[in-house]
Amino acid sequence: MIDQIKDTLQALQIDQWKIIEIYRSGEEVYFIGKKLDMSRRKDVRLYEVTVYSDFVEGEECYLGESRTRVDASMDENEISKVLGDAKKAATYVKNKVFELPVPSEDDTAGKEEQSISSFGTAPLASFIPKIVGAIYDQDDIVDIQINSCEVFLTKVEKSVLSSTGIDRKYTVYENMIEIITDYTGEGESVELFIIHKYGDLDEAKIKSDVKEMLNYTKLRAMASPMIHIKNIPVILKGEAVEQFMSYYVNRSSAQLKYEGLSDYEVGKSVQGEKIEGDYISVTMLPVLKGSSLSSVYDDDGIFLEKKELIKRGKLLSRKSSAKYAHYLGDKPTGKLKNYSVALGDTKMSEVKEKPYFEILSFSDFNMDDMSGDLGGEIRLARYFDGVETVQLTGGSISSNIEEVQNNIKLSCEAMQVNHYFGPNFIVLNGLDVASS
Amino acid sequence: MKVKMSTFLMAKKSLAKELIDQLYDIYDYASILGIDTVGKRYALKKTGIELNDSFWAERGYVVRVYNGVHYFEYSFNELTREVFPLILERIKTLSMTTKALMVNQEIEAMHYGLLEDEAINEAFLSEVEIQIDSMSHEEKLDKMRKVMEDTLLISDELIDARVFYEDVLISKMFLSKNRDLQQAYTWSNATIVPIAIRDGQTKYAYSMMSGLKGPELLDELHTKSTDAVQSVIDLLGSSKIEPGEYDIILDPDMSGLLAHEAFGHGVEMDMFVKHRAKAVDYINKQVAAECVNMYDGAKSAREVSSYLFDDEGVLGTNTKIIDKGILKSGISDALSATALHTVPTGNGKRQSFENKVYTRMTNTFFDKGENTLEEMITSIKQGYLIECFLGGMEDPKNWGIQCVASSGKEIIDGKLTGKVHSPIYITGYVPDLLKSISMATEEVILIGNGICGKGHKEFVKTATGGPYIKAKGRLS
Repeated sequence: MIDQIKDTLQALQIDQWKIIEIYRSGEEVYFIGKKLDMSRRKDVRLYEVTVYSDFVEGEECYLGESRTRVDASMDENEISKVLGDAKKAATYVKNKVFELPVPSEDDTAGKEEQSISSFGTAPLASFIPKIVGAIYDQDDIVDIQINSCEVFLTKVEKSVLSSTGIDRKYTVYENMIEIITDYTGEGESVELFIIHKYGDLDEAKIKSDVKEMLNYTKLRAMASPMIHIKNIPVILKGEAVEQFMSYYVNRSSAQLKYEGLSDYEVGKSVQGEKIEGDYISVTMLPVLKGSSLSSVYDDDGIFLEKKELIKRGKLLSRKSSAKYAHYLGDKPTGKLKNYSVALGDTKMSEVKEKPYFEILSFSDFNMDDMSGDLGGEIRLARYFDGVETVQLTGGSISSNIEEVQNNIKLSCEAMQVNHYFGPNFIVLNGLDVASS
Repeated sequence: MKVKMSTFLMAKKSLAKELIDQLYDIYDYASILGIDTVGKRYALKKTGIELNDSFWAERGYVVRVYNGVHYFEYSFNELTREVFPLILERIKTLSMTTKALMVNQEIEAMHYGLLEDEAINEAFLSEVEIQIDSMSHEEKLDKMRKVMEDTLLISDELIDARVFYEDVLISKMFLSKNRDLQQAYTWSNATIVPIAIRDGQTKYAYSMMSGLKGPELLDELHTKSTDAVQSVIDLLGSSKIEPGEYDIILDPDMSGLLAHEAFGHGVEMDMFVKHRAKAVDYINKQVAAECVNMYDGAKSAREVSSYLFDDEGVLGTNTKIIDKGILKSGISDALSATALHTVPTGNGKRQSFENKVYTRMTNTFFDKGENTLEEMITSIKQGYLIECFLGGMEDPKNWGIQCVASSGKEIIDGKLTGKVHSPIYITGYVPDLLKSISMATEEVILIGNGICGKGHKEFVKTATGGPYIKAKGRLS
């Protein structure tokens, strides 16, 4: 099929192109309680073809591009039609010229990256019983149980080819687990909901994550309605920390800079002036063991290498695709997805010596990359007023990154949430909590 | 004019029927859904243009079978007679590995029983003024460019006025032993996103349009520019709100979001099967003010989620969820209806042929009232006009609300003061808010630009809306 696509591109006189062949296979099981609701399997092959077109209008030179899908089921005529349409579409995309990626001299991985995931060692279906076993291993607390869960195990094999000579293959694996836990004892039934993603089979981590959820559900069952709390240190944990830190990663992108939506300047602070708390340091990583986003190539075929993005609150470099790197005069980093954040030196025990508000679970934590607004409704939190600790539910926090970033405390202990490795909690000082 | 059904799917129909016949030799039930969706997404920014296939573009099949114990599905995208043995083998292997899993982990299957498969043989083609491939890419971009240029002229604080447009032609066929269904329909979305910066603060707003329409939608888009720009300029001067309970007016976007999060997600009957829905104990009970009526259905409105049949081959319906404040009905997919011994409502939807069916909303809205917006504003001593939704999250178990709005405009003594707060979180308990609804305007407006998730995944197109409604809400 790839040869057929290449022949068609040639026949249409398209001499700048990129083809990504994607073969996606997966196994899925769905449970209600511990009863099997459904099982599924998929095998899907398709091709994403990006067509580029040089053209001139007046005195301006442009490089247009348009991406289209070629299905494995398409015949010659249909392939010609969709690629011909993409060629036409590209001629209307008046984007500044940029250099298409070429094979990197630094590429040490060879033509085909060998996946480091343990999911690559056996057929996908063979892992499902182990994953399911790990999930239900902890499901033995009275009145607290797994209400339902869904397990997805997907293998994605990609080949990236381009007219500039790129020819690379890589494979990624993702195990996504959605779990709902509930309390069905006396009083009102409550639930918690979470999605975990893993790039490796890690039964111990699955068990530990499920156990934490079940324990939190127990706390939620005992929680009182949220009260109004003013000016309190707020502890964010788990996924909310990753979402908070993603603000810095996303604002460091060359694309946002080029589009005028990021004011980050290389060599200057990203945390504002007069930082009283911890400095943020972020490093982008092509591979992070256990991450479902690990790969040494991106979808442009660029060889990915570790890159320090932010050091002690200052921007060192931008995260960039070939296109936006060219526009800003940077060397492209490629689309790196994993990242680590340097730890601080704050211990949870120290934070908990004084009043605090610890958010264990949000309904949905929002971190807006453009405005810096952050917040969300709270499903479960712990509040220590200096005398006693209570569980609270409902209510919300709402703030902006500008109000908190000069005085953040980072934990001294690390955690991994899929593609993030860094502080397992952060403290945002001086926030208000709205009641429910 | 009528849209065109996928010739590709039609050419595959007899082969698909053959596959079903072979599957019926082995299984108690078999069906196949074939999908062929084409479309483009256009993004126009000051800094560049994007023109790529729509996120919704796809081509493939999903087979569902029942072996008397459980249902299972296989998704694939190549259907030829040569691959029949491979498809059958993979389905057989899936059945075996599932059985092994059940034995290994001592798991029973949910008992659904056999799906209803009464004979239905129907076809549907929606109507548009302009087919999506009849207007050239150039013309679409030119129209978008005109809107962008005109919008930028409105304020010199704008650094960009992005214009997004997407149109798709969706073709589906559903075949089982007794059902032969096919449909094709087009929807389109357009959005203006003005972006402004003042004193280092970046703000954005948006105005949206959608419909079961083709690119004729682009000729209406210019009407949205002024409001969009005013919204973002208002946001530049915005501040955080003092948390509290207030009289609020929700604009149609926000009333639609409320309907969607509260008794859209709240009455998805796959949640009934999982004992995750409080609504199951409130059928035929008061959950809202008497003036509140609420609907959902593929047949409830003519918007992005209007179709003949859902992804399980069940015909779409119009469900009255709330009738004069009384919760009357949920919405369901076919398997959930089988488990609950109810009638499916045609709300079984998949994100794509690669994904499982869940109970999903279609077009969800509060019905109209009798008031004017001016009357509603005048009636408020201290409160807010809440506009422009940013997102929400469902809580079918405990009926908590989380709706996030971009803007809350202050009302004091019956007048807008010009003060704006942003963002606005609406939290609280669903029935409290719905029972406090006291006024609603006469016009219902639906928007289908957003994407609905089930939790944080399984994204489908839905439309939401309503009139302006006045209520009491907890804001922060």
